[in-house]
Amino acid sequence: MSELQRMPPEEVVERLRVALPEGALEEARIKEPIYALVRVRRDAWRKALETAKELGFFHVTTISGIDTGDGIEVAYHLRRDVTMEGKSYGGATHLRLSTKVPYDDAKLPTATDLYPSAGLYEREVQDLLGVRFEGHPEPERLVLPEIWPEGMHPLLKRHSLEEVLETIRKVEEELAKRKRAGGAP
Amino acid sequence: MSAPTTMEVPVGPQHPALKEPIRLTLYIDGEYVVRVKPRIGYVHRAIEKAFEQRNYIQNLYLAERVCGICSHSHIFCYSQCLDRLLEKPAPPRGEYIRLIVAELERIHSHLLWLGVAFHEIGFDTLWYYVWRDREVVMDLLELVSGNRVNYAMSTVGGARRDIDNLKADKIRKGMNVLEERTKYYLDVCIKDIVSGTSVRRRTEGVAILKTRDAIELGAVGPTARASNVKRDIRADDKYSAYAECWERSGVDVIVWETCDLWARVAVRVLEVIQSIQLIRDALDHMPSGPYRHPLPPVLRIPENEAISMVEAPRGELIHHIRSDGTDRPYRHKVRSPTLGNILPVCKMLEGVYIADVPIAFAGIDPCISCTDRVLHLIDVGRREPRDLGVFNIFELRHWARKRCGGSR
Repeated sequence: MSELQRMPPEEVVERLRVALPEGALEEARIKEPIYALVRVRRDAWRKALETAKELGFFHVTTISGIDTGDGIEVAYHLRRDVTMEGKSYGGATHLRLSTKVPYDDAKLPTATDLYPSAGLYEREVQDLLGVRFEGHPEPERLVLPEIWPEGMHPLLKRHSLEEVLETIRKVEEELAKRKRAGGAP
Repeated sequence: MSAPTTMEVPVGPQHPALKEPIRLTLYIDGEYVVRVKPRIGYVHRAIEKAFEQRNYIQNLYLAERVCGICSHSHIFCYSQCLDRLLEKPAPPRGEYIRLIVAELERIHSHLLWLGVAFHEIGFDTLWYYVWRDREVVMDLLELVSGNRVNYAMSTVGGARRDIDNLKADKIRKGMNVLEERTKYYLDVCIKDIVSGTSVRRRTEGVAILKTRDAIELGAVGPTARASNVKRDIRADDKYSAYAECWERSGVDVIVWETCDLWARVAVRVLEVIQSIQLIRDALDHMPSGPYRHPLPPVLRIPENEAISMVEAPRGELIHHIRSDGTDRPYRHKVRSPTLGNILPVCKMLEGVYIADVPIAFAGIDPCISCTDRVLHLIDVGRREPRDLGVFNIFELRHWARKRCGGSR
């Protein structure tokens, strides 16, 4: 059956190149036999995700946020392994689709309408790197405690380990104080 | 159902399924769960920040300690990622040893889960049986690695220790014992020869996750396969020695159509048998030659990026590393399989009885990290949301038995 074929990563890159506006593909590399590493311009981000879904990338493995020194790169790891009916393509293709946002305007439209499974991972990136996902249905904290200071995102390179540890100590003290006072933790 | 008739039940952070902290807020209507809201992070150990502070060799030890049960999966995935960053594959014998330990680990993890599952449904005799048999595989892991928990069997460029013929024979003998025992569990769980207090009657139709939901919510591992999703990294990516062993041993991805808890039991029992086949095949076809490349005293990796995925006992595991020419990773991202299964488990809890929550939640084999014992119930079935207080696991189990009329 022709539709249950593994898609080579070269084809994925090619299809993205065709679907996106000219010059929107900032970087495209092929790694190993199954990995396509693609970075797109921020204005083409939404279109790139939509194209990926059309190509059959239904699974979000995770989202890695990377503080590159000149901005934050948000990388969605998408996989094309099964059809919506759960049938296997007989081999997976992995697409690392990323885009870069500047520190002072760290936000992206949410992908949860296309990929409901991205919900938790987006919240994780929001906590640890401070990228806001606009339109997220549940933009609450996921891994950091509620009383964690605003603007302190531990995985940003500008926060040293000592600074993070100091914040953890303060948060723990605060929690202990609240507990002693008899309130909710 | 009329308007606000739900009540809110916070389950956890200390809660009744497994011994790890996660909070699930259950919105219930009478005895049924209507909606679930998860909250994690209670045991977030900032391992990704820690990875950035240590060099690649030190990170081998740290990666292994991300998880206590699937420790080898993490070090396997991490060392495979380093091999890819260095663009120098491990020697074939090293890959075979990695595979054998990974499959031994899968057996131990699945048997551990089976025991927990039997315990959660109140079938403690079978729990004792399974955990007794699990000792066979634990002894084998100790034989090949010297350890019961963190095996330290994988490293950059291959395996750390060899599996010689003497050890191979012992593993083969152990596999014979395990195969016989697992077939017995297969009879108990699937073929239903033990009547009365049967596993099937207790688990069939509980906590259903439909195929489409499983795909949309990103279920991974046995949880996805039990929902009839043919997703298995070993078959899809054919990484490491699976490229040869998977086809040759004649195994296929195990899926089950019923999409319920029973399917999750069935898939895991069948996967133990599948792992036994893979181990036998790998032992019979182990290539000769070195099992590891020599390691430089200081490992510096030029600017590069690599993604590595393996099928851990609980599902797909990913390590994503970006190197910058120093001896430390610039960024190291890890996603363990349980995070992928949190949204699916919230979906499958919708519509189950409160008393079934522990086993339904345990059904994904969650690995969050330590000590879950109480359940906090809030009734949404009344006009005013009512807090029912905190329940411990024994009360819940008692409740479950009472509801089932003592037959389950």
